[in-house]
This record gives sequence, C-alpha cells and structure tokens, in this order.
Amino acid sequence: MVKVPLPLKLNLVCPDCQAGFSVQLKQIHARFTLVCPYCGAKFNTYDALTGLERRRVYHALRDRLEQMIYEQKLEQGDVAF
Amino acid sequence: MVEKRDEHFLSTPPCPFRRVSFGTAHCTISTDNHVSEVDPLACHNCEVPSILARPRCRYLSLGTELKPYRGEGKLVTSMACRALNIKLYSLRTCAECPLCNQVSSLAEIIRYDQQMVEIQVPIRETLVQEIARDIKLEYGVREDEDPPLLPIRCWRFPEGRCRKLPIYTPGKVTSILCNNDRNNELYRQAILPTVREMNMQAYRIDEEQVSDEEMCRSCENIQESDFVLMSLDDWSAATVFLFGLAFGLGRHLALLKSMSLQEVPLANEMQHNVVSYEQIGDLKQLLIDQFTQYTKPGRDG
Repeated sequence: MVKVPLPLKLNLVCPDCQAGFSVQLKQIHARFTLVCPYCGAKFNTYDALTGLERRRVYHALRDRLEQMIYEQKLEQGDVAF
Repeated sequence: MVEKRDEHFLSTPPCPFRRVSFGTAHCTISTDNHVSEVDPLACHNCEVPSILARPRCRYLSLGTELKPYRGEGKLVTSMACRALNIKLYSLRTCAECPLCNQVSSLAEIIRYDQQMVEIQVPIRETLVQEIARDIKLEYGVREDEDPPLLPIRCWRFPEGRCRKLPIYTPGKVTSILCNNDRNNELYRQAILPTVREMNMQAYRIDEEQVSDEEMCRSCENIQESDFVLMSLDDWSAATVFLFGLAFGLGRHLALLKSMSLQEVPLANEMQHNVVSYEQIGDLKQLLIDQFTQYTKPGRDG
C-alpha cells in the first residue's frame, strides 16, 4: 500500500478493453482489484490509472522504496554525511 | 501635459484561479507545465473572468495559454469539453450541444475537480520489483570487488610490458564492432541507449581487427574497461584472441549472436556469455539483463 494524494474524481481506463470510466476516489480506497464496468475484466488500480495520476503513484512508491534503502544503509552506518 | 504616475493595478478583475505564493501570482489553470506566473496585465487581458461571470456548462474545461502571451493583445483561453472530450473554439458550441448542463458557478465545479485527497493505493508485487530494478539501473552501484588491473605481458612488443599505460575506468563499456550497416544499427539502436541508461560510458572500436595495430588498440581498451561487447557473427582469429584476453583479465564479456545468421564456433562453449537475439528491439532488454547481474543498487544488495 502506498499513500498518494489523488483528485476526488478519478478517470480510469480499463487495461483490457481500453474503455474509460470515472470513479469517486473513496470507491477505490485500499481496494486491490477493480472490475471494468464494460468488459468485466479484473485489474489492479495502478494499471487503470492514466497520465499524471499514474506518475504520482509511481513516484510515491519510488520515493518510499528509496527512503527504505536509505534507512537501511543508515542503520548499517553506510551513509556518509 | 498629463502627469505620469505609477500604475497600481487595483482594477485587476478577481479570478478564482489566481493564487499567490512567495510574492508571486500564479494562474492555476495555465496550460503550460512550467509557466504559471502572471502579472496584472495578463489578468486584464484574460477572458476567463468574463466567461465565469455567466452560467456555463459544467463540462466546460478552461485553460490559459500563458507562454505565447507577450503582453500584447488578448491572452488566449483554451476551452475543451469534458463530456465529449473535444477541443472547443467557441462557446456557441455549448449552446448547440444536447449535453449542455449549465451551472451558476463553473469555478466551484472546476475547483472541486482539482481537490486532492490522500488514499491508500494497493500495489502489486511486480510493480515493486520493476521500480526496484529502475532504482538499481539508475544508481548502478558496483560490487566491492572491482576487477583489479593486472599487468599483463605484452603480446606485441618485446619488452613485455604495455607501452600505452591503460588506466582502468569503472563503468567503461568497450564495443568491438567493425564498421558495417548491421553493426552500426546494433550500436546505435541497442548498445548505446542501454549503456547510457545504465549510467556507463560507451566506447566503440569500429576498425576491423586485421593487423597488430588495431588489436593493440582493442587490447588497451579492454584493459581499461569493465565490460566488453563483441559480435560472434564477425568472428576471426583476432577476435577469438581478444575474447581470451578479456576473459583472462576478468572483464565481463557479452558476445552478441544473431539467431538469424549461421551457427558459429564457440557459441555453445561460451553460452553463458552469449547474448542471442532475434531482433534489435529485443537486444536492449537482453543487454540490460546481461549487465545487471554484475551491478547492484547498494553494497548490501
């Protein structure tokens, strides 16, 4: 799970049939799998995000991973100040 | 005679999309990613406040094209329909559209769309692996045990030591690919982008290995490099000699082999160093896989 600020109304695109639809943000909070209202395909929320929102999630996750690597190196005394 | 006075711009029209930050005013609906700062003159010449002053369709999307504005004429306002996903050139289109749904305050609708809320987004494991791989590629921190620069007995000159005094350069990738159309395409489309993506330095020797002068130059660069790339499809006695030299010096070797060309000797014996590819498009990923086994993101792995 990664905590990301996103717009209240979110436009998603089904990765299977490429149909676009919008959802309110609270509907996808902490939901692992979404179902396409047009073709019924199941997919992860990240895969249905587009453009700016997708980049936001990617960078939030990447920042968290890099922070974890940094903390681990800090614990091992491997970071020079 | 008219007395000159400083303009105070108190008559600047109010706008719901203007924000002030650290002594500068910014337009929040600027269409340009990098330019959002506005001066009162730009706001005076902007049509957005007059558009918002009357009831408009809730699907009307507005933007301001600040970058081309040079203080003369009207600021260009971009308009598009969020229901039809089309660009609008006139507000008359809304009047003719059957989906038109007028609201008294369009600014409130647009601002609601821009509101952000933090939510938890569950992430699949493969995405974490992909990002970890991206970080690994970007930092490209190497193993502790870099290959030491061992003095080798010179095969060319009788004194037995290298006259060129090569200096080992971490991250240098020497590609020994003679100059022909296939190799040029390989180097330009696959090898060079991969090496740059991995933050390493690319160096190419494009001469055919026909005499001791070319071989000496290749030998010097192999000694300086971390990785050596050669093509098995262009094999000759000289290139086989250079394979051995790279192995003996402990350099990481990648031997490129096209699947569409005929079988060549040594392909089976040295298979863990052979990168077989069908199309040039696939080669980039294969090279990343070949190189990343020797690099890792941190010393702790």
